[in-house]
Amino acid sequence: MGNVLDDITDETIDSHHVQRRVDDWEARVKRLYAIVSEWLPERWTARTGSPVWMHEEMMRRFDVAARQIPTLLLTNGSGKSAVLEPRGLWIIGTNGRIDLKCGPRHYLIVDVAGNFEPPQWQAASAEQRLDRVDFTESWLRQALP
Amino acid sequence: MRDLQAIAAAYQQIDNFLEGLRDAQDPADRAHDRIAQRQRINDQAYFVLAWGQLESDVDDACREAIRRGRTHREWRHRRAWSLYNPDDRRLSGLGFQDRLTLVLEKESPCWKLAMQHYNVRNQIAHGVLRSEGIDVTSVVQEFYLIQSALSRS
Repeated sequence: MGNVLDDITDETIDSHHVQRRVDDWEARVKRLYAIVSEWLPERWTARTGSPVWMHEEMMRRFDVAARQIPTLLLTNGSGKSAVLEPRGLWIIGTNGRIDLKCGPRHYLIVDVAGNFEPPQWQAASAEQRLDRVDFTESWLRQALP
Repeated sequence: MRDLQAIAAAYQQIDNFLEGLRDAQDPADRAHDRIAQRQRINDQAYFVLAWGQLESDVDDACREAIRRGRTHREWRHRRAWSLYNPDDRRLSGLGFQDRLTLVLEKESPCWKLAMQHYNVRNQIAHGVLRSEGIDVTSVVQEFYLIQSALSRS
Protein backbone atom coordinates (compact mmCIF):
# COMPACT_ATOMS: atom_id res chain seq x y z
CA MET A 1 0.00 0.00 0.00
CA GLY A 2 2.08 2.96 1.23
CA ASN A 3 1.44 6.66 1.09
CA VAL A 4 3.15 9.90 0.08
CA LEU A 5 5.33 9.75 3.19
CA ASP A 6 6.55 6.32 2.06
CA ASP A 7 7.35 7.72 -1.37
CA ILE A 8 9.42 10.60 -0.04
CA THR A 9 11.20 8.71 2.74
CA ASP A 10 11.77 5.29 1.13
CA GLU A 11 15.21 5.07 -0.43
CA THR A 12 14.23 2.10 -2.60
CA ILE A 13 11.77 4.14 -4.70
CA ASP A 14 12.73 4.19 -8.38
CA SER A 15 11.63 5.92 -11.56
CA HIS A 16 9.33 3.02 -12.47
CA HIS A 17 7.43 3.53 -9.23
CA VAL A 18 7.20 7.29 -9.78
CA GLN A 19 5.99 6.75 -13.35
CA ARG A 20 3.32 4.33 -12.12
CA ARG A 21 2.22 6.85 -9.49
CA VAL A 22 1.85 9.56 -12.14
CA ASP A 23 -0.07 7.20 -14.46
CA ASP A 24 -2.31 6.21 -11.57
CA TRP A 25 -2.92 9.87 -10.65
CA GLU A 26 -3.93 10.79 -14.17
CA ALA A 27 -6.27 7.80 -14.32
CA ARG A 28 -7.84 8.71 -10.94
CA VAL A 29 -8.34 12.31 -12.03
CA LYS A 30 -10.02 11.22 -15.28
CA ARG A 31 -12.23 8.71 -13.46
CA LEU A 32 -13.31 11.44 -11.03
CA TYR A 33 -14.15 13.73 -13.93
CA ALA A 34 -16.29 10.98 -15.47
CA ILE A 35 -18.14 10.55 -12.17
CA VAL A 36 -18.63 14.31 -11.79
CA SER A 37 -20.00 14.52 -15.34
CA GLU A 38 -22.60 11.88 -14.44
CA TRP A 39 -23.55 13.65 -11.20
CA LEU A 40 -24.13 17.10 -12.66
CA PRO A 41 -27.55 18.66 -12.07
CA GLU A 42 -29.80 19.39 -15.03
CA ARG A 43 -28.57 22.10 -17.42
CA TRP A 44 -24.99 21.70 -16.25
CA THR A 45 -22.46 20.37 -18.71
CA ALA A 46 -18.84 19.33 -18.41
CA ARG A 47 -16.04 19.76 -20.89
CA THR A 48 -12.29 19.46 -20.73
CA GLY A 49 -10.63 22.74 -19.81
CA SER A 50 -7.09 24.04 -20.18
CA PRO A 51 -4.65 21.41 -18.92
CA VAL A 52 -2.20 22.06 -16.08
CA TRP A 53 1.41 20.97 -16.19
CA MET A 54 2.46 18.30 -13.71
CA HIS A 55 6.17 18.13 -13.01
CA GLU A 56 6.52 17.62 -9.30
CA GLU A 57 9.82 17.27 -7.45
CA MET A 58 9.55 13.45 -7.32
CA MET A 59 9.23 13.43 -11.11
CA ARG A 60 12.21 15.73 -11.56
CA ARG A 61 14.30 13.70 -9.14
CA PHE A 62 13.62 10.47 -11.05
CA ASP A 63 13.68 11.97 -14.56
CA VAL A 64 10.02 11.32 -15.21
CA ALA A 65 8.77 13.56 -18.00
CA ALA A 66 6.37 16.38 -17.25
CA ARG A 67 2.86 15.82 -18.41
CA GLN A 68 -0.31 17.76 -18.89
CA ILE A 69 -3.28 16.82 -16.75
CA PRO A 70 -6.68 18.00 -17.89
CA THR A 71 -8.95 20.29 -15.91
CA LEU A 72 -12.73 19.98 -16.07
CA LEU A 73 -14.87 22.99 -16.82
CA LEU A 74 -18.45 22.89 -15.57
CA THR A 75 -21.01 25.36 -16.92
CA ASN A 76 -24.74 25.78 -16.79
CA GLY A 77 -27.24 27.55 -19.02
CA SER A 78 -27.37 30.64 -16.78
CA GLY A 79 -23.72 31.49 -17.21
CA LYS A 80 -22.56 29.98 -13.92
CA SER A 81 -19.38 27.98 -13.99
CA ALA A 82 -16.91 26.02 -11.91
CA VAL A 83 -13.61 24.34 -12.61
CA LEU A 84 -11.95 21.20 -11.26
CA GLU A 85 -8.18 21.59 -11.29
CA PRO A 86 -5.62 18.97 -10.17
CA ARG A 87 -3.42 20.57 -7.54
CA GLY A 88 -0.80 17.94 -6.87
CA LEU A 89 -0.13 14.28 -6.19
CA TRP A 90 2.72 14.34 -3.68
CA ILE A 91 1.05 16.31 -0.92
CA ILE A 92 1.89 14.99 2.54
CA GLY A 93 -1.30 13.86 4.27
CA THR A 94 -3.21 13.04 1.07
CA ASN A 95 -2.89 10.89 -2.02
CA GLY A 96 -3.48 13.84 -4.30
CA ARG A 97 -5.67 16.93 -4.30
CA ILE A 98 -8.04 18.47 -6.81
CA ASP A 99 -9.44 21.94 -6.27
CA LEU A 100 -12.99 22.91 -7.15
CA LYS A 101 -13.34 26.62 -7.71
CA CYS A 102 -16.76 28.18 -8.19
CA GLY A 103 -16.19 31.92 -8.41
CA PRO A 104 -15.07 33.08 -4.95
CA ARG A 105 -15.84 29.69 -3.40
CA HIS A 106 -13.02 27.23 -3.12
CA TYR A 107 -13.24 23.55 -2.21
CA LEU A 108 -10.49 21.00 -1.61
CA ILE A 109 -11.09 17.45 -2.83
CA VAL A 110 -8.49 14.99 -1.57
CA ASP A 111 -7.93 11.27 -1.98
CA VAL A 112 -7.35 9.73 1.43
CA ALA A 113 -6.71 6.18 0.15
CA GLY A 114 -3.26 4.60 0.11
CA ASN A 115 -1.07 4.37 -2.98
CA PHE A 116 -2.66 2.34 -5.79
CA GLU A 117 -5.77 1.68 -3.75
CA PRO A 118 -9.25 2.54 -5.03
CA PRO A 119 -9.66 6.27 -4.40
CA GLN A 120 -11.57 7.59 -1.40
CA TRP A 121 -12.35 11.15 -2.32
CA GLN A 122 -13.26 13.55 0.45
CA ALA A 123 -14.15 17.22 0.17
CA ALA A 124 -14.26 20.34 2.31
CA SER A 125 -14.60 24.05 1.77
CA ALA A 126 -11.34 25.95 2.09
CA GLU A 127 -12.86 27.87 5.01
CA GLN A 128 -13.86 24.74 6.95
CA ARG A 129 -11.14 22.28 6.11
CA LEU A 130 -11.52 20.14 9.21
CA ASP A 131 -15.17 19.46 8.29
CA ARG A 132 -14.23 17.07 5.51
CA VAL A 133 -16.92 14.70 4.22
CA ASP A 134 -17.15 12.03 1.53
CA PHE A 135 -17.27 13.44 -1.98
CA THR A 136 -20.76 12.48 -3.15
CA GLU A 137 -23.31 13.51 -5.71
CA SER A 138 -25.31 15.46 -3.10
CA TRP A 139 -22.15 17.21 -1.88
CA LEU A 140 -21.31 18.26 -5.46
CA ARG A 141 -24.83 19.55 -6.13
CA GLN A 142 -24.73 21.62 -2.97
CA ALA A 143 -21.27 23.02 -3.79
CA LEU A 144 -22.12 24.15 -7.33
CA PRO A 145 -23.33 27.78 -7.50
CA MET B 1 -2.64 18.99 21.88
CA ARG B 2 -4.66 21.83 23.31
CA ASP B 3 -3.55 24.39 20.70
CA LEU B 4 -3.75 22.13 17.65
CA GLN B 5 -7.19 23.33 16.56
CA ALA B 6 -6.05 26.96 16.86
CA ILE B 7 -2.93 26.19 14.83
CA ALA B 8 -5.05 24.47 12.14
CA ALA B 9 -7.41 27.47 12.05
CA ALA B 10 -4.55 29.97 11.73
CA TYR B 11 -2.99 27.88 8.97
CA GLN B 12 -6.25 27.71 7.05
CA GLN B 13 -6.74 31.47 7.26
CA ILE B 14 -3.27 32.27 5.98
CA ASP B 15 -3.34 29.61 3.27
CA ASN B 16 -6.70 30.94 2.03
CA PHE B 17 -5.25 34.46 1.96
CA LEU B 18 -2.26 33.25 -0.10
CA GLU B 19 -4.60 31.24 -2.34
CA GLY B 20 -6.53 34.42 -3.05
CA LEU B 21 -3.33 36.20 -4.03
CA ARG B 22 -2.35 33.25 -6.23
CA ASP B 23 -5.72 33.17 -7.97
CA ALA B 24 -5.31 36.83 -8.86
CA GLN B 25 -2.15 36.03 -10.86
CA ASP B 26 -1.82 34.59 -14.32
CA PRO B 27 -0.59 30.97 -13.88
CA ALA B 28 2.08 31.66 -16.49
CA ASP B 29 3.42 34.60 -14.49
CA ARG B 30 6.38 34.22 -12.12
CA ALA B 31 4.39 35.93 -9.37
CA HIS B 32 2.06 32.90 -9.41
CA ASP B 33 5.00 30.57 -8.70
CA ARG B 34 6.35 32.87 -5.99
CA ILE B 35 3.06 32.74 -4.14
CA ALA B 36 2.90 28.96 -4.55
CA GLN B 37 6.37 28.79 -3.00
CA ARG B 38 5.18 30.93 -0.07
CA GLN B 39 2.28 28.53 0.40
CA ARG B 40 4.72 25.60 0.60
CA ILE B 41 6.82 27.46 3.16
CA ASN B 42 3.69 28.30 5.13
CA ASP B 43 2.65 24.61 5.01
CA GLN B 44 5.98 23.61 6.51
CA ALA B 45 6.00 26.28 9.19
CA TYR B 46 2.58 25.19 10.42
CA PHE B 47 3.48 21.52 10.08
CA VAL B 48 6.39 22.04 12.50
CA LEU B 49 4.14 24.00 14.88
CA ALA B 50 1.53 21.23 14.79
CA TRP B 51 4.20 18.59 15.30
CA GLY B 52 5.24 20.29 18.54
CA GLN B 53 1.74 19.67 19.88
CA LEU B 54 1.95 15.95 19.16
CA GLU B 55 5.46 15.65 20.55
CA SER B 56 4.36 17.31 23.77
CA ASP B 57 1.54 14.77 24.13
CA VAL B 58 3.93 11.88 23.46
CA ASP B 59 6.15 13.25 26.25
CA ASP B 60 3.20 13.55 28.63
CA ALA B 61 2.05 10.01 27.84
CA CYS B 62 5.61 8.79 28.35
CA ARG B 63 5.90 10.49 31.75
CA GLU B 64 2.60 9.01 32.82
CA ALA B 65 3.63 5.52 31.70
CA ILE B 66 6.96 5.83 33.53
CA ARG B 67 5.27 7.01 36.73
CA ARG B 68 2.81 4.15 36.62
CA GLY B 69 5.55 1.65 35.86
CA ARG B 70 7.80 2.90 38.68
CA THR B 71 5.05 2.49 41.25
CA HIS B 72 4.04 -1.02 40.26
CA ARG B 73 3.85 -3.18 43.35
CA GLU B 74 5.98 -5.93 41.80
CA TRP B 75 9.67 -5.20 41.32
CA ARG B 76 9.89 -7.33 38.17
CA HIS B 77 7.44 -4.92 36.54
CA ARG B 78 8.94 -1.70 37.84
CA ARG B 79 12.66 -2.44 37.50
CA ALA B 80 12.94 -1.36 33.85
CA TRP B 81 10.78 1.73 34.37
CA SER B 82 12.96 2.81 37.30
CA LEU B 83 15.74 3.58 34.80
CA TYR B 84 13.86 6.68 33.71
CA ASN B 85 13.11 9.88 35.57
CA PRO B 86 9.68 11.23 34.58
CA ASP B 87 10.50 14.61 36.11
CA ASP B 88 13.61 15.11 34.00
CA ARG B 89 12.93 17.61 31.21
CA ARG B 90 14.67 15.35 28.70
CA LEU B 91 13.23 12.16 30.18
CA SER B 92 16.65 10.79 31.09
CA GLY B 93 18.01 11.49 27.62
CA LEU B 94 15.46 9.36 25.78
CA GLY B 95 15.33 10.24 22.09
CA PHE B 96 11.97 10.73 20.41
CA GLN B 97 11.95 7.26 18.87
CA ASP B 98 12.46 5.65 22.28
CA ARG B 99 9.86 7.86 23.92
CA LEU B 100 7.39 6.95 21.19
CA THR B 101 8.21 3.26 21.54
CA LEU B 102 7.42 3.40 25.26
CA VAL B 103 3.85 4.50 24.49
CA LEU B 104 3.12 2.97 21.06
CA GLU B 105 3.73 -0.52 19.73
CA LYS B 106 6.66 -0.35 17.37
CA GLU B 107 5.03 -2.53 14.72
CA SER B 108 1.83 -0.49 14.67
CA PRO B 109 0.80 1.72 11.71
CA CYS B 110 0.57 4.72 14.07
CA TRP B 111 4.18 4.26 15.22
CA LYS B 112 5.36 4.15 11.62
CA LEU B 113 3.27 7.18 10.69
CA ALA B 114 4.57 9.18 13.66
CA MET B 115 8.18 8.35 12.80
CA GLN B 116 7.66 9.32 9.16
CA HIS B 117 6.27 12.67 10.24
CA TYR B 118 9.12 13.02 12.73
CA ASN B 119 11.68 12.53 9.96
CA VAL B 120 10.00 15.16 7.79
CA ARG B 121 9.81 17.49 10.79
CA ASN B 122 13.52 17.00 11.45
CA GLN B 123 14.45 17.87 7.90
CA ILE B 124 12.39 21.05 7.96
CA ALA B 125 13.42 22.08 11.47
CA HIS B 126 17.08 21.57 10.59
CA GLY B 127 16.97 23.75 7.52
CA VAL B 128 16.03 21.48 4.61
CA LEU B 129 12.73 22.70 3.23
CA ARG B 130 10.65 20.12 1.37
CA SER B 131 9.43 20.69 -2.15
CA GLU B 132 6.22 18.72 -1.55
CA GLY B 133 3.12 20.43 -0.31
CA ILE B 134 1.73 19.49 3.08
CA ASP B 135 -1.99 19.23 3.66
CA VAL B 136 -1.78 20.51 7.23
CA THR B 137 -5.46 19.74 7.85
CA SER B 138 -4.95 16.07 6.95
CA VAL B 139 -1.78 15.93 8.99
CA VAL B 140 -3.60 17.39 12.01
CA GLN B 141 -6.18 14.61 11.69
CA GLU B 142 -3.37 12.05 11.55
CA PHE B 143 -1.86 13.59 14.69
CA TYR B 144 -5.19 13.12 16.49
CA LEU B 145 -5.21 9.49 15.33
CA ILE B 146 -1.70 8.95 16.69
CA GLN B 147 -2.58 10.70 19.95
CA SER B 148 -5.61 8.45 20.43
CA ALA B 149 -3.39 5.38 20.14
CA LEU B 150 -0.87 6.45 22.83
CA SER B 151 -0.77 4.10 25.81
CA ARG B 152 -0.30 5.80 29.16
CA SER B 153 -0.26 2.68 31.30
